[in-house]
Amino acid sequence: MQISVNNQSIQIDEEATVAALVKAQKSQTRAIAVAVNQQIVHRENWSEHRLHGGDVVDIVTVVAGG
Amino acid sequence: MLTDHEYLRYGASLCLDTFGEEQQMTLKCARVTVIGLGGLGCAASQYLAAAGAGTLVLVDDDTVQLSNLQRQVLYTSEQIGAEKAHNAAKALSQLNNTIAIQAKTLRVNKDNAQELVAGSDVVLDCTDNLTSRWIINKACYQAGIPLVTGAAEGLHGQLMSLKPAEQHGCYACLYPPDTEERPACERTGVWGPLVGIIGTSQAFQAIRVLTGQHSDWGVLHTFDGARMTWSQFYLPASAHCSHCQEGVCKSQ
Ligand SMILES: [Zn+2]
Repeated sequence: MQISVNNQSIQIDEEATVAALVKAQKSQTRAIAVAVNQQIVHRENWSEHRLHGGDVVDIVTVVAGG
Repeated sequence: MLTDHEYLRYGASLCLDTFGEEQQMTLKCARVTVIGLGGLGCAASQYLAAAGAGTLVLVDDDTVQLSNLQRQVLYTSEQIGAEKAHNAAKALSQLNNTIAIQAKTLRVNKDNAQELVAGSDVVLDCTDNLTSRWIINKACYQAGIPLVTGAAEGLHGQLMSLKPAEQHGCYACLYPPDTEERPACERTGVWGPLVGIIGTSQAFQAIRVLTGQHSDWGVLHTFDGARMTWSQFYLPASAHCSHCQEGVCKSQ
């Protein structure tokens, strides 16, 4: 199925979870937040949250500087 | 009551449809605590002072470095080595001599955080590290004080307003306490005007919070300077959060 990740269209397995996507994207899992359709999905729910075709995912890297 | 001087000084605010004498009086009576007087704090505090926030509390333990002057616009070349909080207060009192400004040269930690935020109508987190951000978040949630948190690195900014009384998530719901720290600002680099964009946005949000016009609690605003775009993400509360959820072990 096709989803959008940070404004880029990608192909991913049907029913893939947020955790699988994060792993596939090789994101640094403890330095990011993930939003699906503009709502943050908490880290503890990544392995249960299944993605659907057309989902818009944003992987937000932590920014802490001031 | 506003003085004649204040009517003139804040005339451009008072002309606004959504802002009047009542809102200006609310600002005048407000106590705003700005933690961190780096790039974000310099930008935010200038607009808060100019807008007439009645009491500004400025907290930073740092001194001015040459490499700060690229973006920390309250300081001058002559102030290298001098305390930031004190010099920021001096610059802001020249900008607006009708407000009260308190400078506190200390670093926020888990022992002093509650006392620092106590009595504030809103707190601005303008610090440069995750540890301070969690401490400030927790203290604001314990005291029930609205928090406007901002951050900037490279070309990226993040901004979020949190109200402990509301149901949305908190800073620790977004970035749990095992989130990894990235290198400090100086090493990552930051575009000077970016801290202005985020810092002045924090001042903007703080004024909306104080005057009851805030409508986007618990929304993470991210700014992408490469595309010149803002995005918004809603942050729900995490049932497991040790900062904002009752009954969860608070020792974490
Ligand atoms: Zn929380």
